[in-house]
Amino acid sequence: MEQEPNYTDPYLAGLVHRHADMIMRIAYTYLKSTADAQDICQEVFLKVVKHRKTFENAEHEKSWIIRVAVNCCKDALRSPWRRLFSPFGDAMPPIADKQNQEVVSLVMDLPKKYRIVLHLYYFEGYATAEIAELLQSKEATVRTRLKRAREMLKSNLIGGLANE
Amino acid sequence: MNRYVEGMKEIKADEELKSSLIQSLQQSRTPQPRKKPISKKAALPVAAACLLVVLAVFAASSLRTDRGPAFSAGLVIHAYADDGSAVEMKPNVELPLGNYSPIMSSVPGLPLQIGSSEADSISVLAEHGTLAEWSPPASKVINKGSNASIKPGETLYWSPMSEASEWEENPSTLITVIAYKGKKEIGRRQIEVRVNEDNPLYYTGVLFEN
Repeated sequence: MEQEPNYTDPYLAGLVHRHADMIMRIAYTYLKSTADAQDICQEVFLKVVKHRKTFENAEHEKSWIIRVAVNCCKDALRSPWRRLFSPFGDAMPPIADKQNQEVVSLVMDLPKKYRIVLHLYYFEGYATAEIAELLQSKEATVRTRLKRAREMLKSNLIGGLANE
Repeated sequence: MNRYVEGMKEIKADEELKSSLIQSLQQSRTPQPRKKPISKKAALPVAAACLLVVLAVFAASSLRTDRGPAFSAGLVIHAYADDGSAVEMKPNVELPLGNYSPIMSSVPGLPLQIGSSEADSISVLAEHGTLAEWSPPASKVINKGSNASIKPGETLYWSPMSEASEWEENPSTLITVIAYKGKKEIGRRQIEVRVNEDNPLYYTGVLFEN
């Protein structure tokens, strides 16, 4: 990947188009609020520009942005500012298909430590070792959380929607 | 988990958000112009001129004999720091106002709670940006434009966005707070809200006593 030390307009536009959707989904997984996910999106990109990070390749860029997004979400969850002024998330995920919405809702009902592992594994397609690195955790912990999350989902899902 | 994957595909940044992100990134990337340093040759007359101005102002204020009571009308303004704590703004003390991003739709702006022991209504005017009223958990935000009238003790939100929801790039803005008893103005204060140069999400505020 070509290095972009000057953070030109085309590079910034490309950066947003490459990663904005991914950040929105990760932030939604943590915060369960579209509005808060949009805030995280802005914060992550501002951090990228502030740090003027030069990435070795596309995968390095993506994983760095995921780590920043995860940290921003954790900070947001800790923030008394958010607790005071934005205590409510979306009532239901903004998804048109009812069945898809129900499954996403079931995942969102899980504790956040399970949600993010499920998301990175199933949606982003990361291996457990890679998730452990992204979340600065142990691979065994990721595996356990993944297993536990599947068990909890299976016990909640009706009609065999978990077709893994 | 196919349904999860299909469902999550619908959670994405819309084109409006992406455009707004690109625009704000381009603005934040632009380095602030460096102030031209004053040469040593020019520094002495400048310093002398400044000293004269300060002395003139000091002398003029000392000669005033018709100074009335403090024109504050018991105005008490609380801002909210980044940790969510309410802090009373003191005259001429810079206060961190927490973070706010223009597309932060979960919060309509930087909150300012304005109280007064003497006034029965308070008028607020913003030089730039917009003012809004909002009472969570109700989701409705009432946009007041650049001029709002509130009751003492109510919270008003200031946002750097213009009424047309466009980003207004102003390094600082003045918010004027006027206390009224009936129709008579009984107090006035000004708050200068400044954008943090290093992080455009953060603001500081200074209260000026008129």
